Amino acid sequence: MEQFDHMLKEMAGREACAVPKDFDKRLQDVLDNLPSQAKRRRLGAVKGALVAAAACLLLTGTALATSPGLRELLAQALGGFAPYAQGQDGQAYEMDGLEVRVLSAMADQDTIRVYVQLKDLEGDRLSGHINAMGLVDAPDPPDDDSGIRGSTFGSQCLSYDEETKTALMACTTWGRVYEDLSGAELVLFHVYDTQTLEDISVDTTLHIPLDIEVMSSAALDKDTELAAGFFAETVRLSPLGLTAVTYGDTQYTYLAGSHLRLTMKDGTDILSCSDHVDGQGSYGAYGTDSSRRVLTWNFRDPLEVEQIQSVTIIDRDGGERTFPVALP
Amino acid sequence: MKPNMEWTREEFSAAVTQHSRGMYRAARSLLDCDADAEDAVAQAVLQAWQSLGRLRQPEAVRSWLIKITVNCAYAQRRKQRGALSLDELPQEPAAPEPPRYDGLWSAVAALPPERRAAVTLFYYEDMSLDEIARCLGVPKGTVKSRLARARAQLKEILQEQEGEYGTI
Repeated sequence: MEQFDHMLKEMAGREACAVPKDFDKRLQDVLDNLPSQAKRRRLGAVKGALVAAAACLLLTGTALATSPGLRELLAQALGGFAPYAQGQDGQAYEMDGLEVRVLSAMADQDTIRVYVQLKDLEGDRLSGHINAMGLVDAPDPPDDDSGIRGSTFGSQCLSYDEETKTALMACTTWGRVYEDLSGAELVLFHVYDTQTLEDISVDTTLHIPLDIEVMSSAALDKDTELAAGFFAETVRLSPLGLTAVTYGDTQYTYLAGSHLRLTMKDGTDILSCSDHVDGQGSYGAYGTDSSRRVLTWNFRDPLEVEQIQSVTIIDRDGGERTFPVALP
Repeated sequence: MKPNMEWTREEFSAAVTQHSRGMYRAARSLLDCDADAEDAVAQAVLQAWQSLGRLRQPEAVRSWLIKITVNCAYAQRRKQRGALSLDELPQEPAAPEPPRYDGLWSAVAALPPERRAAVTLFYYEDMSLDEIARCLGVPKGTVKSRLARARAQLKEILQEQEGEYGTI
């Protein structure tokens, strides 16, 4: 593979980057018309008005250190998922001058999402462009014969408050299948600014205990056909999302980047988009079992699984395949 | 390289022009058409200009510009999909944009988006695994995994191309 790697580097080095006609001219126009540099604005202002008291949610054990503004932002971030959010103890941990508190979490068998508050105790290192690396770690399920051993972790900065130097992040893990998250921990080991690429915290690994009850998922019939000739070994549905365990890489590649259209029993259609780690819908590929790949689409709003009549997968080429939701 | 607060508009423009191909390629690896990629680059230029004060290591300007472009491309993708109403869903399958030319890039275009991005940043932009991990916001292990799978796919595609077009 090293020789092939070298060949790829050479090929890439030889290829000129084809750009659209007049690209350089249009780029120069943009550069010629740059505005005067504006002061950095609060991300909250950029995102628009906060949802007011009506959406303010009291989270058990989290109120102590969370500013009213961030409580409202958390409520806004949770949206319709608020009833599913499980408050965490909010105990303060420290990593390299950052105070870290886990505020809330929710999980089904395939998705674990944790809402984390970070506050800079030493300076002004945080922003709305930070990213965190880590994982949600839990003891191996005792009877795990899924063959899936890997997981994917992603984080997203939901908001940043310049006055309190506090950021709100959503950290999500997909992949391993858990029916029980007893003993689970959020492990964080790297926080950095995605624009400056500057490390904010890199020397400390935090292990923060979580207390999450896994919401149940409904499993569809084995070997559900997701696309013509492509079968899923398993499809699971919960209010958080839909997960398909597929056979092998080819099917994952085909389905990666596809949307879902969920038809409800009342006739309405809901579109769920797929985009990695952005809170609107996500998928991941994981597993060291070479015969399986796991894809998850997270819903933008929680759905009652019993009310879903069918699911249509719309692939990247616009092709559609519908399968009914027949719950056992 | 001057400290960031002393950059003039002309110096910033020169840096953007120098790295414009890398920025465009990074955006194009994540987006499905040239126009969207160009929009993402334009947005990235604007954001970079407004965030110039946050660039603490001027020598890292290339990675910085590409990272901002990747963010803008992701935002572009989210905006498009969030705005897509059911009425706008194509009734007929949309014809995929044909590859611009043969060779490695057309093979890369056939990969899933996250693998395309990793391959583009590694092979075309010569970024390190650490830089790519930060750029894409994923662990280094994930980058390695994506590159490994991408290589296997590229090998198949290029071997098919070799069969059609002769030796690459």
